[in-house]
Amino acid sequence: MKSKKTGLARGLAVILTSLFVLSLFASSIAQTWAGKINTFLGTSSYETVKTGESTSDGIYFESEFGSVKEVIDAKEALAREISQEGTVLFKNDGALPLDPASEKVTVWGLNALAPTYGGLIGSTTSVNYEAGQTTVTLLDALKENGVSLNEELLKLYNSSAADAFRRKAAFFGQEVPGHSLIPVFWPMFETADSYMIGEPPADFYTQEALDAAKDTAAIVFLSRDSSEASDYAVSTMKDPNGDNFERPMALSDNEKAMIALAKENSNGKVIVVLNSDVTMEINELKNDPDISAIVWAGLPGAYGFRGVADVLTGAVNPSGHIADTYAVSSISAPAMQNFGLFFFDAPEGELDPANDKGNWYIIETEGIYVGYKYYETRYEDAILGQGNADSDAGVFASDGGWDYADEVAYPFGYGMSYTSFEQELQSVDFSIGGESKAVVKVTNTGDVPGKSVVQLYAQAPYIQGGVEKAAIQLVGFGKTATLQPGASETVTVDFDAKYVASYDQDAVKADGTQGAWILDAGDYYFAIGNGAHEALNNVLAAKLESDENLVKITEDESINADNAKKVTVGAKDIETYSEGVQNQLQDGDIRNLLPERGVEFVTRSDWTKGWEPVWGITPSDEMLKNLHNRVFELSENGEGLTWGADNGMRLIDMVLVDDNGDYQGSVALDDPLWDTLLENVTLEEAVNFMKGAGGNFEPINSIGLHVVAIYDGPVGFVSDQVPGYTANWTASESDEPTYVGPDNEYANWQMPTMPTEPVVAATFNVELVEREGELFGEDSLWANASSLFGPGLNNHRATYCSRNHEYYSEDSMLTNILGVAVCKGGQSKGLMMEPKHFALNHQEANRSGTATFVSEQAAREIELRGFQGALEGNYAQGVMTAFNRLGTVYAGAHRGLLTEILRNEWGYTGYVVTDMINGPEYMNWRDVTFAGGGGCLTENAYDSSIIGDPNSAENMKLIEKDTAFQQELKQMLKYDLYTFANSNTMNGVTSDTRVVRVHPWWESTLTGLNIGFGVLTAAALVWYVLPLLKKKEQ
Amino acid sequence: MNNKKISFGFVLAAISTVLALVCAFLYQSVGQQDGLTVTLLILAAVVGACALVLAFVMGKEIANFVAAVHAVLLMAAIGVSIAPVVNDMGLVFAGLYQNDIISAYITFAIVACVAWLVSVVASFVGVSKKA
Repeated sequence: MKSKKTGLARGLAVILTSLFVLSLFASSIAQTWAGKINTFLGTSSYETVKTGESTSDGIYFESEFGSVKEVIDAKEALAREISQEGTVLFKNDGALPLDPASEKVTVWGLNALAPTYGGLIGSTTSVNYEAGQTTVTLLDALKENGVSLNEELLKLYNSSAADAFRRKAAFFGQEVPGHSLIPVFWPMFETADSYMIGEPPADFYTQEALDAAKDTAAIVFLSRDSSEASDYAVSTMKDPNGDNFERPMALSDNEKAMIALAKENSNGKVIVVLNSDVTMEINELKNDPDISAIVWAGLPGAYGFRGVADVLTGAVNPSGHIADTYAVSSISAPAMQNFGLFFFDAPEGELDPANDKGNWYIIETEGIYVGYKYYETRYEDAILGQGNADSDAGVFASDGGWDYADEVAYPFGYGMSYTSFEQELQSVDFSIGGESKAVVKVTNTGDVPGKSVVQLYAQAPYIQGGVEKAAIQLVGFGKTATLQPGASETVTVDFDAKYVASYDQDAVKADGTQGAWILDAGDYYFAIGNGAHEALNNVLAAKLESDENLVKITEDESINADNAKKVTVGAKDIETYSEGVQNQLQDGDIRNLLPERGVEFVTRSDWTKGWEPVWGITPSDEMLKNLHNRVFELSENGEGLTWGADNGMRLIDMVLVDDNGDYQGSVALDDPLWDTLLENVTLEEAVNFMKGAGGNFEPINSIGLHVVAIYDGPVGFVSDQVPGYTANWTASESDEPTYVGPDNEYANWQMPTMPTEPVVAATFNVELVEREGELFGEDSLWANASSLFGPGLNNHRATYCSRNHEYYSEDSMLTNILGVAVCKGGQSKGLMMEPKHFALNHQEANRSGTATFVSEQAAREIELRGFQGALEGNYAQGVMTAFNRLGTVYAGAHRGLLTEILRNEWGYTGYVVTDMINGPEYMNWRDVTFAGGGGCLTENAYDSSIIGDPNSAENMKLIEKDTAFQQELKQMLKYDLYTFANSNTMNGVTSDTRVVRVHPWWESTLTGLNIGFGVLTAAALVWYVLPLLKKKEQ
Repeated sequence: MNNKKISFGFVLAAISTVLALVCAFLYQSVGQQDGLTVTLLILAAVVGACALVLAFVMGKEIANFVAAVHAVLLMAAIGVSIAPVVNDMGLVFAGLYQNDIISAYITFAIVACVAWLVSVVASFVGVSKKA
């Protein structure tokens, strides 16, 4: 009996001790993930309290609205307006606009019932249906506009017979309608992927439904979706439902069958609507006389289909212009030849995909010839008979030699209207080092009111065999107000001559440094046009003094030599735009790294070059070193810096307020007061801040910095990070004017509802885009979230990148100008806009670690130029680095990119953060910090990595000895704090504000469990051990 | 051999000790590791072996106590092993990663939990039995 009692005590002691141990570990893990847990539960570990000594209200950025409902309404209205102006009319034989009063419409396409509004992840459109929020389909919008819809076909689409064909991407345990792409975070394309088009076959359609469609106008809805962490595969994708397509961007058999049925069963009007941010192959629709009209809607967000319906019904005259070239074959761009998966040829085991992310690469052999800069430049050379432009290299749709008319369906910048406009280029002032502008008179020569976009292009003189130059490049644009028939408006397009310049890596400047922005001597042409092709034709007509042999490919196109102006530059200039500039990215050019491999790039001097996919690169020893990461190591140097000084200064002391209490920004960045402030920060706080920039920036109690909220993304704060307007507020902040409490009717309304960036780009309307930035800023004020991971400013290098929906365009200048506008708008409300992904994130397939090899000229002109305006002007306050490598060095740890170009050349003063740490050995904190990067976005990623947690005892000892590392930390912190002091994150903070640590309920619960198990364990041990001891004494 | 000294608990403790070694082996194929886990598992195995020796050779109550420590060490090893895989588990549950990145851990964790449960039962019944 006694033995049984002892056994029971022993067993219980073991169980309770084990549970106590487990509870302690659980608490530790929970503390590590406190940020995520708090976000999930809507709790916080910190609270700001006021001691009551300050009389300031602490509101530095004010809302223009009186309630959150007004913000929601303004966003909804703006989304509609953006789509009105971003919807592009490609083709119209007079079928559009529809007359809602007299025409009944049949909407064809199962996908119309569940369209793609935004990305599956990345620029995800989401609304809270339970809270009363809705999305609007094209069907809803047409009905709102008074269109009578044929319900018979809709009944069929809504029946269970259609269930097997509906697109539903399985994601986060849910089936997401309107999507087929499935995001993956592991190496892609190793097996054939599936892609469901989402349309049923011809035999799905019943005779009853077809009969009902006769005598109605047909709107055929075609859709392709988009998502972060996914790419389209050119040849391996198959439709699991048996639909067939040559390529995912081409029309599928079921889509073709549906179009045929629509043509047979309609009143003769067949209007195709494209719901896609990736460029589809639509040349057969363009050339089909039975297709009356083609309208591009893009992915227009939650409410944008209203704008599309406004265009279809003529409530608004279309004024959008497409921001990407619609090629006949979606794989005909040279960039597509080196897109996807390329593996280094290295001895087995030499490169480690798991930790080092070092196995993959792409070589951007297209150089600067991306999008229209390829098609149009080759077109000019074909016309001029130079550079083997009409050879059969790179032919995908031509019969014989390369022929522009066979290769391009709709050129970049093209778009039609229901009226006609006459544009007259009146003058061009081209000033190197000064302000340049073009004056254009626009007259509405048609019958209905409308807006007209003025696109200004430039052609710099190309010297055969010299620096590569595109035959035409966008340098600026403007848009008229709504012009009544017969009315005119003079539009002035300001532009900067530095964006006409080309980057010459071989140029040697007066100071002896190599690499410069050059403007060659010769004739420069400036031209306007409805797209790049018309502008180039105008240039060619002026150059050749004839339009004979020039090719027109669209119905709304004209050639006018008077709309091109020549400006002659007498002497080559390599200094004006090259101050402080020199080569920084030569380690990204494979031709420098492996000259013996002889990789050829596309060149105007011979268009037959650069078309080969470059397989099996064998990395050199130097490349291997970088592919193993560890570019920088900690060492013992210097005598350390001052940390934890406690001199009484706090961040709020850096905020300037005038005598009237009005906000005046902050103390200047170069003021020594910042150094004094930084001395108060402890080294541990600084390290913790650096490693913990994911989700939120960590608080720094020593200087009164509270948690700074930082969330995705380009169409508004995403709902999985900010579930609604109330999520980030605490009751202690209820006195702030933009506070949204949990009882507010709109407390849980979600924010990412705006149209995706390609739709925004197609507006060519800077004012609209700046207004979008302002409304993002309003969301920021009302949701208490100060920083937004957006806009996406990468270039649309390749059609098959399914993340193009998060970036504006294939053109870096359009991206540049719109990036400035949206960031400027956000900044006016104190929102820290954070462009991403800096730089060269051109594909999602194996994005983490992909070594991206690129010429410095292409990197600067095609990719970095998109970011340059917003960052150089400091309109953006943050920038997120990319997952990929630049050359063999992680882009977030590339000193040439982050320190030399971003900071030193551009003078950027905002903060830098990495993208999500996806491979802590690869995206390691030492390399990031030493290279001039900044915060590391994923908290805790390092805890289990080889390189380890930076504020572990071991690493802290190393950091304490490394003064150089500490200096980088201080510099990073200075940029961060300066940025915060100039943002609305300071709203509510006054001189008497204190940040205090609080214990959310889950933390208290865990502590209670620890104590409980601790007490029980002690009791059980006493029960077990005490009798044993007594027994021993006896 | 003195058969009177071999109890049911002794057999369970022996199984648990062997399983601790098996766990240490299985843990080598886990993607995200913490070195302390292996140390604790080997320590648990050594302590378990000590308990067996004490029970077999000396047959004293101290063997039961040592076996209890073996069980707690096993749980500590399980606890330490969790932190490095939380991120991966989250990614798998979110559908962002395939199961195979945590399958090795799941196998390890199941075997480790079985080892712990066996050791707990052994603690209840006792590993030593006096002659």
